[in-house]
Amino acid sequence: MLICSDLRRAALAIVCALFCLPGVAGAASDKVLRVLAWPGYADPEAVSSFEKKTGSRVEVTQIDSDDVLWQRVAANGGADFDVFAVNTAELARYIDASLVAVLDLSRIPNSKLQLPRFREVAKVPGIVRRNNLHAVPYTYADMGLIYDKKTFPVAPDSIAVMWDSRYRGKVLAYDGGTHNFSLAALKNGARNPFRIASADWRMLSAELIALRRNVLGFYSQPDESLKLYQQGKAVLLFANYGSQQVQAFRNAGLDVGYVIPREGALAWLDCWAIIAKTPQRALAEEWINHMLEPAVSALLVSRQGLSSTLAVTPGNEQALLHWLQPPEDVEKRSLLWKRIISGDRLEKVIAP
Amino acid sequence: MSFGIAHRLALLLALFSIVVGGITGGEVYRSSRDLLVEDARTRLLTTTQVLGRRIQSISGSALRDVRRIANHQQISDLLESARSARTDAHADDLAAQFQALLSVSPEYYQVRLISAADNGMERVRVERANDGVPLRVAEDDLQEKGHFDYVRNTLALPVGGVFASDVQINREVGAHAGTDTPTLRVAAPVHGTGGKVLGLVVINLSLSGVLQALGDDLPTDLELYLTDKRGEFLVHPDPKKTFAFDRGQSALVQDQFPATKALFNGGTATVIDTVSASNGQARDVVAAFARYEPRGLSGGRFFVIGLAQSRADVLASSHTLAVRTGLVVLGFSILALFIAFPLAGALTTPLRCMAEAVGAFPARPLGDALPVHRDDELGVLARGLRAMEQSIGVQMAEVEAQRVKLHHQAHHDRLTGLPNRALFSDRFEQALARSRRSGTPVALLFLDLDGFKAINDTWGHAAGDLMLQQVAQRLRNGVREADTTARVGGDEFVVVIEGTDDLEYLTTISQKLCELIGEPVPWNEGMLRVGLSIGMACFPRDGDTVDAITSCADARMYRVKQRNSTVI
Repeated sequence: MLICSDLRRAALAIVCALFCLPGVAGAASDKVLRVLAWPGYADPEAVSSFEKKTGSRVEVTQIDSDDVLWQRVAANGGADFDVFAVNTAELARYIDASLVAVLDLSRIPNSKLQLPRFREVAKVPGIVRRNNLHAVPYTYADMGLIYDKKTFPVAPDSIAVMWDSRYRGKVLAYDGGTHNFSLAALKNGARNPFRIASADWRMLSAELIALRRNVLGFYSQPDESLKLYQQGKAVLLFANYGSQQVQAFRNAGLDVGYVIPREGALAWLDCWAIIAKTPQRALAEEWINHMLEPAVSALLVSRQGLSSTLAVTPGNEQALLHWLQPPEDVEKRSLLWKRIISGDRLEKVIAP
Repeated sequence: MSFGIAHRLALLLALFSIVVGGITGGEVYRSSRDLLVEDARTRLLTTTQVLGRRIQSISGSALRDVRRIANHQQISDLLESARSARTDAHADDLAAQFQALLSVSPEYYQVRLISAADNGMERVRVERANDGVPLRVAEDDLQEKGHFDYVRNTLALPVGGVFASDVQINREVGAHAGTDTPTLRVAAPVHGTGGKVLGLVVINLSLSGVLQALGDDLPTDLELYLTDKRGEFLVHPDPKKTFAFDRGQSALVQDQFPATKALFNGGTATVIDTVSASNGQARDVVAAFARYEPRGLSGGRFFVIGLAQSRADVLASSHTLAVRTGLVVLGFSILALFIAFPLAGALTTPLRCMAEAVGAFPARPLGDALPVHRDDELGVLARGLRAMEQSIGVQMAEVEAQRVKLHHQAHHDRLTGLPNRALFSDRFEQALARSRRSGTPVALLFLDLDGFKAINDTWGHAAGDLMLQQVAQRLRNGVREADTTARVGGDEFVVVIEGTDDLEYLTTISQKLCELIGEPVPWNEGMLRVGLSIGMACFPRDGDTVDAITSCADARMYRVKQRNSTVI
């Protein structure tokens, strides 16, 4: 069978080579768009409507971590894919490696339908470099606070509530140095939480030790956070996984609210980028445009619990969101955080 | 006889032994494979049980140790009282005990006393240094552990309670050899007077150390698996599957070995011939998985331990067996060929001899060619043939006698016993032929009785017959033995005399014959008399054929009879 089908394929290839002259090439089904995205980003319904509209075929490959995404795209210099979804903090290294194309928004007319904060691409950090646009925002999630509605009849309005000794042993935070230092910076009024001045490390470390002493614990996974919240009778949680976590908590029967504090919330923003070397550039642009169709983007909200860049999420209209950026020093944040969560005292934490 | 019974028999024998050999070999091969698989299952399950008991015994001793330490009077004093020379002495004492414990328990890498106060500050901490030697951690390096769930959960336990954590990678920095090690934490609360919880004692077990030791004892072709109660791999031959949950991923034994699902629904031990679906590749394995619940642990914690061996590895030794069996079968087949042909020959050679002898019979008597002395069926056949030969001999003799008799009857006159006309013609023809060759003449006397009719009429046929017999007798006596006398008609006779045509001699004989015949024959007190008329003819003088000479002699005899003389 194998030989047979190989032969058939070879024969087909020869026939194609004989007959597919330049003017004839590119029959509808020959147009293949190779998409690399996170689970849920390329909804099967959206894919089939795109295939019908363009007469092309879409091959979707799913990834589940930033590292895998990088490996897949960087392998073969990007020759394996045409278009992929990447978050703003990660995009820089793809630009550095010249893996992503410069985009022209006029070729993606649906971008006009996006909310102002996404339409004004210059204000979105990381996607524009030297006046060249490298990605189009697609979906995002913010990391606000989940709170127990009984304990907080009025939603807490500041991040500082996590340090409030009245809730000692009732607060859950996330086990991650990068976000926690940004959080501490926001609490202390930083305008850019991804740039910590060298003079501030000691003070921010002390903040995080104080946080450590106030929390019930630190979680890593969404399901773990729910378990700890329920078992430890917590009342406040930093929602590293955003609206997905809110949904899970409410599904578990918890009476919780969700708020973005006045200092703003960290938020990741995933964008579509086109591989620089793609042979299907026009089709890739059509794909992005299709993803920004109101009906398609609405699927993100209804099916994935994510936020669309087209419609306002109720309660978030004026929310201040800090789109994730590569922090000034990932290794330092990670090292200090490891010491902090291990229980070291301040002097040990900030030791070189 | 190009492809005779011997060849066919030989081929049949050889074929039969090859087929029997092949079937036997195949059966041996198949059942040996079954045995190998069965043996592998038993071995794997037994080994799994040994590993499980070892884990149970290790965690059981950790439970005893942590309880024993937590009940120490020194500890509650140390935690309850303000710091003094006395409490420092307690701490030194405790550290020495911890060091001793680490020295004798290779699976432990850290023993600590943690205070419930001061955000879970460690009070005494002894751990294995990177070189494995137990080391007391300096006071400045002690850490706050109040935010860890093992601290919180243990402090919440009643007196006598024991806490055991899930197996996790230890991310706490400063833990020396224990950093980034898969860890099982066993802890017991310390209660003061009045039941107030003062702190806890924690022992960290290095699961990788335990399992490394277990795995090192195993043959290299065995794959060791260990999972927690969710089915997440704690030990897996592929490092990417090990502690996947610690990296925010998931790698479940239920996915790789679907048959293990039963273990997570309360089953205890299972042996499976299954497909290991790993990295998109499915392969057949023989595997044993068992579930173990370390005694005395809270929270229904259990482990699933499994060992798997690729079916190909299990059956590897059967290939040698297959080759050997094949060689034996081949050898016996060749042997069978060598035996079959002589054997078939031994059986068919006497048959062929008998067949040849029977083919040559009756020209050659069967004689010694028959193996009549054999005791077997061939002997019976040979004796049967011999009896048949003898019976045929008797019947042939009878037929020959009959034939001779018939032949005589056909050529002789029944009444007189003389040759008849046919035999006379034949003899006379032969005499003529001899005469032509030798040039010697032949004479023929044609004799006719005179007065014979009167005898018949007067005395009856019996007298006539007697007369004829007497005549015949006298004619025979009257000629040489070489001369042929025959009766050619009712009272007509001929005599062939070879070697002469001398009239004188012939006349003499004729007269002698007339005298002999003329002698009366007694009959019922009377006498019977006949005369004799003789006509003579000679070859070649009177003709050159039987008929010509006979006619000539007959005609002359007739003339004699008319003249009433005796001889012409």
